[in-house]
Amino acid sequence: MSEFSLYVNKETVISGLDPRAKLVASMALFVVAMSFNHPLYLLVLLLFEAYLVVASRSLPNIRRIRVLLLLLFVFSAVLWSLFLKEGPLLLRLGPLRVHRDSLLYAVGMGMRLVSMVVTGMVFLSATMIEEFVFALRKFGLPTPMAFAFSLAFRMVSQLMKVAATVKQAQQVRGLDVDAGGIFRRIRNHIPLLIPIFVFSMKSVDSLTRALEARGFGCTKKPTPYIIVLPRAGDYAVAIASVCLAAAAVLLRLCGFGEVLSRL
Amino acid sequence: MKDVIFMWRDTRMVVLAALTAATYAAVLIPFKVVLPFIPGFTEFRPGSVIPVIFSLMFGPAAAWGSALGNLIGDVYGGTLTPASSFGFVGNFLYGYIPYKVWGRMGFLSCGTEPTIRSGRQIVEYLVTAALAAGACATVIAWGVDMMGFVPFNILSNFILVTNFAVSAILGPPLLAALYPRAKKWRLVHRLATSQAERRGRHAWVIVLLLFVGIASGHFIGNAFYFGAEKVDPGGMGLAVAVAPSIVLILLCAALL
Repeated sequence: MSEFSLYVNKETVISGLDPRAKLVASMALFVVAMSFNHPLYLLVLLLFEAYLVVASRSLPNIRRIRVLLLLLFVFSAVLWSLFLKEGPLLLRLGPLRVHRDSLLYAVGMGMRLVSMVVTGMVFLSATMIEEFVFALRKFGLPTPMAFAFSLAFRMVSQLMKVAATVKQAQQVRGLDVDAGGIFRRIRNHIPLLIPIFVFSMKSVDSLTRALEARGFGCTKKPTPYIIVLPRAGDYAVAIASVCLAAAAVLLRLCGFGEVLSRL
Repeated sequence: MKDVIFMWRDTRMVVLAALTAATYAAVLIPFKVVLPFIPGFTEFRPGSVIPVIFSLMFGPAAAWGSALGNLIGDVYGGTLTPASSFGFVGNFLYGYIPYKVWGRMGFLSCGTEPTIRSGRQIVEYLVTAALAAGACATVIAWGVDMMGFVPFNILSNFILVTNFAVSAILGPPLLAALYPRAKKWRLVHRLATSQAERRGRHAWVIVLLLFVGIASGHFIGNAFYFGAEKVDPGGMGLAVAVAPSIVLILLCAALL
């Protein structure tokens, strides 16, 4: 497991589910969030997701991105309320005008964004990368692509370590990469890119040979790293999720959960 | 277009796709929290140079690598949402367009490899980077606006400017340093080295149409918000209005 992984290694009801069921349930929650733009309906969804966060024990991960969640909400709410002009005028600040329906829609969009990020975080907290790739393969992702995806995940942490080594090597030679303000520090890091890229390019040949020596690409259906067999509970979760998503779409088509007639 | 499908049969290309994805993600992740311009959607991205220069070296592997790398960045950054699917397509184009248009832009092309040794090569590189950044920005902003996350004008202009600026500033020196090494290690994709293998003498027409698609999509999308008093942005108006430009971009990309 990568050191950058968000996976929470604790046994919970959610982490015990088949990764395919978790993926279907996450997609269904995305559909529910997309179906409504009224803040009240999205609040119900957020409350349900708060329960999922507790049940999956992903609160530490949510805490890590709490500033991002706050920024997402504020940014979305401010932008949409300024760019849309629907409903009666509520507030006028010089050239800026805030309309009632636009403000409601803007708050709804902020809640929708937060809800989607939380759904993604619950999924990643309860699913190992290997399980994620397994689910993608079962849903039809070609084997070489799934392999490249999982290989890239592992290579990220390796590249980060290479970057740290290169940085230390340059610091030993007198390069002070952490001097100055933020832009100066970014500029200081740019010369480090070339040795990092060269190092990673050099590894391509040996990795290719190693893969081919192990018969990579010889068969269209190689043995998977993990095998997960779905149980009755997994089917129940998947079916319930699809029904929930369908119900949300149906409600929206009937005119519920709508502030503005846009997605 | 066939090369982006058939590349998966070549083990070296699979490894290069993974390498591009990992490198792109490794440079994107630290900046997700350092300088977020539009939180959760775009930030200051020095990594934006990677899809362009790797595309000119590794060809289709870089296209898939940038798409996967952006997705991995979303996963590690905790911002995996349905908008990530548009990020996938947009970043695929960002890594796909450079190697496809290089050498096929009529009088703008210098007819040599992207070694960045002359002024003409730099001009061709800048046009290539602008087209790639434009296609990426238009597709992502269109999708994200359609989902109701961020208005088109905000996201498209940020992505266009930051992606192009980073690629224009960092790209030429990095490419000049890396291309000879990649060629020596036989990592350079054949389309980058062999101009003779490029079919179609009139490919510049497709590149021109690609530019028309990008420019029209960008203009129409921005007009919806900057002329908001006159043009109602409600309903699916923007999504439908920009859709023909998106279709044109994808069609040109497929024909290249």
